Amino acid sequence: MATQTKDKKQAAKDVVDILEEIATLLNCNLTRHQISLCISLIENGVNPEALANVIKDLRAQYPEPELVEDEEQG
Amino acid sequence: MPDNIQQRVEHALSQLVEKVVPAYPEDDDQALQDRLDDAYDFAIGVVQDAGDTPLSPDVNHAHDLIKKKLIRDNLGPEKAMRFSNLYSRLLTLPVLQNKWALLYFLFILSE
Repeated sequence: MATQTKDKKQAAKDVVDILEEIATLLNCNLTRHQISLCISLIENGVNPEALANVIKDLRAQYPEPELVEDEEQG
Repeated sequence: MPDNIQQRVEHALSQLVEKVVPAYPEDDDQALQDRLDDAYDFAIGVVQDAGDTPLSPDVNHAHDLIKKKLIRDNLGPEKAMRFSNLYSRLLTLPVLQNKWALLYFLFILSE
C-alpha cells in the first residue's frame, strides 16, 4: 500500500515537472505553484479556456509593479 | 458541481488570484485586500459562467496546436521536439483525468 502511495506521489510530481516545462516552452509565465493550482482547478472541472482567459484578464487589469513604473517613465 | 468540489475550486482559485494579482508599493492592507476581493469575484464569475460550456473540440487537438505553435514561434525544431518528448512522458503517467484540457489551457494562455 505504501509503495502505491509513493508511486502516486512521484507520478503527481512528474506531472507538475512536465507541465512546468511545457509552460516554459510556451512562455506562459506561470510559477510551479500556479501550475499546481491550475491542475487542481481543471481536474475539478473548471473550463480550461475560461481559466486561461481569467489569468490573461487579471494580468492585464493588474500589471506587475515594475511594468507600471516602466510605463510611467516611458 | 458537488459542494466539496465547489469548495476545492473556490479555495484553489482564491490562492491562484493571490499569486497572479500583485501588491503595489503604495498599497496599504485594505487596498490590497479590496483588489484581491475584486479580482476573485471577477475570476469566480468567469469560471462559473463557463461552468457548463462544453469544451471546445480543439481540446483534443491541443497536442497539434501546441506543436504547430512551437514550430511557428521558434527558429529551429528543438522546442517542438522537446514538447513531443514531454508529451509522450505525460501520456504514460497514471494520474490526471484531464490531460487534454490542461494542454489546451497552456495553449490558450500562451496565445
